[in-house]
Amino acid sequence: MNAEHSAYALHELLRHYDIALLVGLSKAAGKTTVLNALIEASFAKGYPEPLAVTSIGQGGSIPETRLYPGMFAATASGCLPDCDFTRKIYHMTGINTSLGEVAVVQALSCGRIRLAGPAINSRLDGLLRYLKEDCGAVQIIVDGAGDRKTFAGTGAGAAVVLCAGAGERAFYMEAAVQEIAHACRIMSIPAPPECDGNGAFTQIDGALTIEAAQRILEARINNGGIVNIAVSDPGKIFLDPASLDKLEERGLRIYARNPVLLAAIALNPEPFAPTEFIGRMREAVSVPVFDVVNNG
Amino acid sequence: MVNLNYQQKKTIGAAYVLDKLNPSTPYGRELVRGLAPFRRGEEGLLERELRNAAQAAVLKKDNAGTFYNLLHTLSKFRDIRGSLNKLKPPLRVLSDVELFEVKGFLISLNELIPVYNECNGAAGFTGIGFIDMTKALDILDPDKSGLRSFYVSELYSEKLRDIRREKKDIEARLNAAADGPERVSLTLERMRAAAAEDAEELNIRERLTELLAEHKESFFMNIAAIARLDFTLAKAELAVAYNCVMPVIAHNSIVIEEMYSPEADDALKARGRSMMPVSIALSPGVCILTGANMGGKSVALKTLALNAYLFQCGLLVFAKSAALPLFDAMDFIMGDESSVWTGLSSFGAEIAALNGILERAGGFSLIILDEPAKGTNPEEGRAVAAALAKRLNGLKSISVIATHYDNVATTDYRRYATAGLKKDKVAAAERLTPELIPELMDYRLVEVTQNQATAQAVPRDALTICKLLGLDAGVIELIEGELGF
Repeated sequence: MNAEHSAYALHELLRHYDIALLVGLSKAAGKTTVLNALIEASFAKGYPEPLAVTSIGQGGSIPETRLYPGMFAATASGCLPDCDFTRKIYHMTGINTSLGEVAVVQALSCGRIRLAGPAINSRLDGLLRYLKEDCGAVQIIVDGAGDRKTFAGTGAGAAVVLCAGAGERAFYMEAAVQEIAHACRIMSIPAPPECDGNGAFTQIDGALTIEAAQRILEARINNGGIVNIAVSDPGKIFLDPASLDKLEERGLRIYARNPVLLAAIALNPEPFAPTEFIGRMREAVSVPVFDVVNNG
Repeated sequence: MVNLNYQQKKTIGAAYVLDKLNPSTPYGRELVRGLAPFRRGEEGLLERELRNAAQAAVLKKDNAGTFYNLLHTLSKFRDIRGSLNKLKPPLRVLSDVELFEVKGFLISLNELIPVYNECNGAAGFTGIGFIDMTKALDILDPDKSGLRSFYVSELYSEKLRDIRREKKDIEARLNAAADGPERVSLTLERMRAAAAEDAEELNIRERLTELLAEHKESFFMNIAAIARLDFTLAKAELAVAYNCVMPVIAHNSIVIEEMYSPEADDALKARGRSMMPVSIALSPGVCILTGANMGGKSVALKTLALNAYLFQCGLLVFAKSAALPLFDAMDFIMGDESSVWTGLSSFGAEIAALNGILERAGGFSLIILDEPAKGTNPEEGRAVAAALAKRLNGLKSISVIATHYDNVATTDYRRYATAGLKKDKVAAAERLTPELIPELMDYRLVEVTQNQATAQAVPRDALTICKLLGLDAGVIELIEGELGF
């Protein structure tokens, strides 16, 4: 393991974006580990600009993290009594959650806090704007949900970090690599090319399943053998690798009206050998891959 | 006391108007939700309320920038009554979030007062005043930063400063410590420091709560003033949007020129037309309203009820000019008395409602009956309507009865008729279609004078209306046969 694959390097990469959204491919993919590693990296590097963190409420698991002086957090007021750093209350957002209204606090000392941000993605944009414009946060990290729903409504410009681990493929590394690579392929679905004015674009609002794709092929609306489909965002694509290959072979081209900006994969290598797993993963995908568990 | 239920407010179009009131604060919104009409005898208070709304409307028209500045300042207030209730005995300690909210309120108040005073110089509101609470704000802003953020500052206690200094020192050592016994003991030390910090913060919050409690009356008085100002501005916005007028408070009579109902007018405007305003003058006793089907009797009655009710609630009136009195009660029978729940037929429900009205009739009421007893046979129905008119005419209340029955509108009563179909236009029309009705109909109310020979007869327009609505030609022929044409 070397430093260029570490949380420090991932943090450095994410400094190019205003907002980083952590998305888990499965449970125990290490999303909170990534969040903590990024906060530690930011503190250790001693950057003067403030960092802000929040989460998308996911009912049940509330990530706990550690903040350092000057950092901001947006969390439900019900999480404040057990936050153990000296804190300044900055703003009440008007966003209600089952744990109370989401408050924006600034840490004046270091300590832990549980993050339970807005449960609805639609309220996230306003909160992110507040953190950026009113708190002056230069980097915002959002601990997203552990499923696909998170993609919608996170605003343009958010860099997505796909947090992935062995998941259910714990016995066969190659299967885990393929699964993550497939998720990566779907998340990299591009925006539709502009000015495609010949009407051969099929817009889909709901899920793109194999049945839906079949129906579109049967309708025989094509443009010289190419069938163009636009889904609202990559989270709506429910196709396994084999089906996707076959559909592409038959001329199907999938686009996302709200594409995801996939910036990196944060890998939790457990239980595989880290070096080997990371190495295979880097061969399988074109985005940077980081190991944030075994810091370089 | 005037008390309309939601169904009645909906029927007369008051629910529509009240929905359009859009206060900026939770306090103003609550005032609108619990809107209480003034009582007879409170004319002075009503006058002040109406005058404030009229002044605010002038401010909006002449000085929109100042008006919106005031609205913007108001919009920053959040509902902190949950926190303030903790200041009442038994005192409960405010959390840091609650102290933040209270501080935010006091900062907003400090912003509002100068803006209000500036507006008030121009507008001249009466009975809305704010109490300066800078002293209360000083409690929550020990370094006088003027910022909205709040934390339990070390400025409150030397002890807190020492605890935090120590905690910080432990944290620095902890960050540098390697895993092992040193780390374990430092972690324990940090926990103790954090607990001591919590305990001292609680002491301070308790002290702050006690200090704030000394100002609790001022908090609640300012909230009441915010609610009233907010409500006044909301009324003014509505009044400007709909060209409302400041009514004159009359003793016991009604004179309204060109009144209209926003709900009816907006619905018509969506179809490219507008409501024809109606005028009416009423005094104690009974007024009988007659007129053709679809001639606008019901709309006129609802519009009258609407404006009388809104006036009683302190709103400006939807009319060109208006003089209205305060009533002890308002009773409307407009054909929508629900009979499902009482197990009575529509006729039965109506009679039950009439009984209620007569029981309340001791005071000064506004009674509006739209076609009483229309659901029974014409002979007895006419008798019921005539008897009601006779009975209500003996009261000091103002009653308006719309009817199709002949010989109810005797010269004993003040009488109005809807102007009805324009005969010449009907004759000139090539084909009669429902779309033509609004063009052929004159919806205005005309007072019927004593010497008009046909005064007691109601108009005979039903057949023409049937033709306009495109009733089956065979049936029309049969009707004409029945009428001996």
